[in-house]
Amino acid sequence: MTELGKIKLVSSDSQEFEVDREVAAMSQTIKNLLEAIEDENTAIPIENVKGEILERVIHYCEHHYNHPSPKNLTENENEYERRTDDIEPWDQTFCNVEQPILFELILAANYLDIKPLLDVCCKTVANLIKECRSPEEIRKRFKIKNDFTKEEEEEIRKENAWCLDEK
Amino acid sequence: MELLDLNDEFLLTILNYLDYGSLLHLSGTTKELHYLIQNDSFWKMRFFSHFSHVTPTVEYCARDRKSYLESLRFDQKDQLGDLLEPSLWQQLFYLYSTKTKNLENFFDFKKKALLEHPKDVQRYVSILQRIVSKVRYHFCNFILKPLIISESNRNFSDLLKGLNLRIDEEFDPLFVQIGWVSSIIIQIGFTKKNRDLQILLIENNSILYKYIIKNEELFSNNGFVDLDKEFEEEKKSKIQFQQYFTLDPHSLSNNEKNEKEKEIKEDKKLKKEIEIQKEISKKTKIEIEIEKEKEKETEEEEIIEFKKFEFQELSNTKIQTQIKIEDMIIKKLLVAIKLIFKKKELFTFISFNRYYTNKASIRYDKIEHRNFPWLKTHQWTENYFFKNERKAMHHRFDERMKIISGIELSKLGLSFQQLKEFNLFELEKEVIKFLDTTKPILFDQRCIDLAIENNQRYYRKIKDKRKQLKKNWKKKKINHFKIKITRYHSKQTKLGNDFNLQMALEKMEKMIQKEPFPIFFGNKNWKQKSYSKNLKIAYLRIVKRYISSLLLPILLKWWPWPSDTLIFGNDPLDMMNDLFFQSPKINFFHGDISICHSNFKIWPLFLVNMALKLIPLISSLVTLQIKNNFYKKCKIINSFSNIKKIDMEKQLLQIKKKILKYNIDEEYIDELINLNINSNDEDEDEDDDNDDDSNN
Repeated sequence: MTELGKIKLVSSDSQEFEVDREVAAMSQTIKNLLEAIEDENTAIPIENVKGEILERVIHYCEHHYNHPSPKNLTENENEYERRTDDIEPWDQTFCNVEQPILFELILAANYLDIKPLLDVCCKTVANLIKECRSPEEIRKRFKIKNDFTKEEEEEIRKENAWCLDEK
Repeated sequence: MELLDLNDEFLLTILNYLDYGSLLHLSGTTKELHYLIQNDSFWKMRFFSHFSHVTPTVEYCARDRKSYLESLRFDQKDQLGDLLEPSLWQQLFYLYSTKTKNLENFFDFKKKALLEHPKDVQRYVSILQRIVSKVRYHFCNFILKPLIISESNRNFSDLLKGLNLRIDEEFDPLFVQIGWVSSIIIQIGFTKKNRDLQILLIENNSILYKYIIKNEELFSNNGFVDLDKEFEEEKKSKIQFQQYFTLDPHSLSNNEKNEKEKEIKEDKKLKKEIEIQKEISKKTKIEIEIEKEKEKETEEEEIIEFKKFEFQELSNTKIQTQIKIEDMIIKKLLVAIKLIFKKKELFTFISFNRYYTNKASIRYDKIEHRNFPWLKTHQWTENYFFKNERKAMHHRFDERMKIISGIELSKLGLSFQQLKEFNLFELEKEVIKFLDTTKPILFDQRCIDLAIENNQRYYRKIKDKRKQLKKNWKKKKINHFKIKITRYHSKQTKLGNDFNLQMALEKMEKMIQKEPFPIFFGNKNWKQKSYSKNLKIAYLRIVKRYISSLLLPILLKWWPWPSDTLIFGNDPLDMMNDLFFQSPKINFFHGDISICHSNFKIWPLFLVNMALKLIPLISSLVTLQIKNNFYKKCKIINSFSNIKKIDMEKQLLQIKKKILKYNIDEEYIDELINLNINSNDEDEDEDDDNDDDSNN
């Protein structure tokens, strides 16, 4: 039996998490499921998300439930240029994880339909890319293999030269 | 898990947050990312999300990219023009979208490239200027101009809002666009070819128009002006505006005596101006020839001098002057825009002339009533329109307009007989052609009288017809409401007036809510051709309207991008309705490429296509279901004798199957049909009595 006002989430690796109903409802996917399920004690399976990731997602939701952000991220949608420098400090720390976890978080946020989390994660990845000053740096940071030939690489470099800083 | 393990959807979301430089870096990492980023569709999408308001034209550019590129391409002789080739689309995007700094970088890069080819310096500078002007020209012509023209009934300030132009911030990243707006005014608005736009600018934007007219020289002089002089001009123009708007329109009649004197003065001024222009053109021709000769002579010297010259300084000054030009334009525009916003309610009657003529009856529906305060308190009827049009003409005073008397027109070879045959709108066009002027023309009372006579004759005809019709209707005891509809329809066919049809449909829709179907199917008049056609069309449209509201959620399901990139406006349902009604609000740019709503809400082409595919299917489904339901409930057989024989259940299944091919849940379709039927059930029950009456 779950506590009153709490629900049980089960990750893909069968880990169980008890979460406040309202916190869980920050995920649109879970919210829809909750509306469909009559029995409140039914454990909700989150099949696409591992326990480790689900735990982080719950942590994120709990924090933002208790500390609602004054600025709605979606407000910026119509802005001319999409900003990546507006991530809150807590979110920055939250996203300061190893890359595989960050990417898993993106997938989980998408699956669970938690838009603010998805945005923050994508922005963090974008920031990581922005920090790199050359294709080589990006390859190193994201462990990407170079599949260009030297000639192709040179051609691309020339093509893009008009915009890149080559002092 | 790694970055490249993410699917394209997430990658694109991330890419959307990246600046141009990072994107280019990223594209240089792997083939996959290179393909993703260098793909046109990516840039289109990026353009979509950044410039949702210009999407239709971008779509156009993309479709006709070849010609678009060709038109931008420089002559083969211009070797440096080749620099534009590799990634022109990106460069264009870059120029459109980047901030001032990036634009400067763009110039900087070009400047660096020049160092390797010092001989081409001068040519290069001119090419750079051409790039900017060409890009601007295309931006104006392909993007802003259609938008402005399509928005002919809206306020210019709304247009600016629609373009996301922020007025307060001088160094807004969109400053380039502000520059472009002014460019339109200069490049498009003031040429004879773009008469429509000019009229539009006058109508919607009289203050800005005046302001720029006053400062025409400054604008046309590429902004190389004395700042003090400019500010003085601004002060003057402000005062003049204030004076203009504090004028009592009724007192204008006192000025009529002075009109002739003004005319003569203006004519003299015009002649002088023409002479001056001729002289200038002669001078410039000679100057150009001399310059060419000089250029040839000094070419070698210049090369030597150039080597000594510090190129950095030269180019810096060029850039600085370029920025100055931009700043100037912005400043001018800002002042003008601010004035517009302050005096928004006051530029009203100048626009009246377009609505004045025979076409007035078509057009007055488009007049924004807020611009006509005196309309608010009165019912807007044709009679009222006639009574007040004279008043309105008096208000139509603008010192910038050319005032022409009827006598003057006759001198120009236009007889009164010809005038009678013209409506004012046509007349104005003719006179403009004749006089070879770009200034709008204000006709004097005699011309107006003629035009009014024409109008009155026209309306008399209509009135007579109506009287006859009413008599007929009384004889036939036809429902008043239906008479109205046929009238609207007859008007529509004659005048191409969609508005009235829409009004009729709205009324019909209300009626349907009260008495859903008997009106259409159970009525004995249904068989009469004159009614059946109209009503059938109207009915089908209304069914479509219902369907549009039902279809929307399906379309939303189909949206392929993350939900945050959806570009729907506030009222997509309204747009949907417009789409099906094909009302004047909708503009099909370049055929049916994409559709732009009057409020700058964009219908992505994808959705339009999808809607067009699904509508017939769903409409037939819903219509059948409605008929089926209706048939079961209402027991009215009159016009259903044919339908009765059809096995509706089978038909429904067939259509359902077709719709299911589009991946739409069956349950959802059922739910959709039931919803629609249930919403009508109650009304139907209520109206059974009425229905019986009508059948009797």
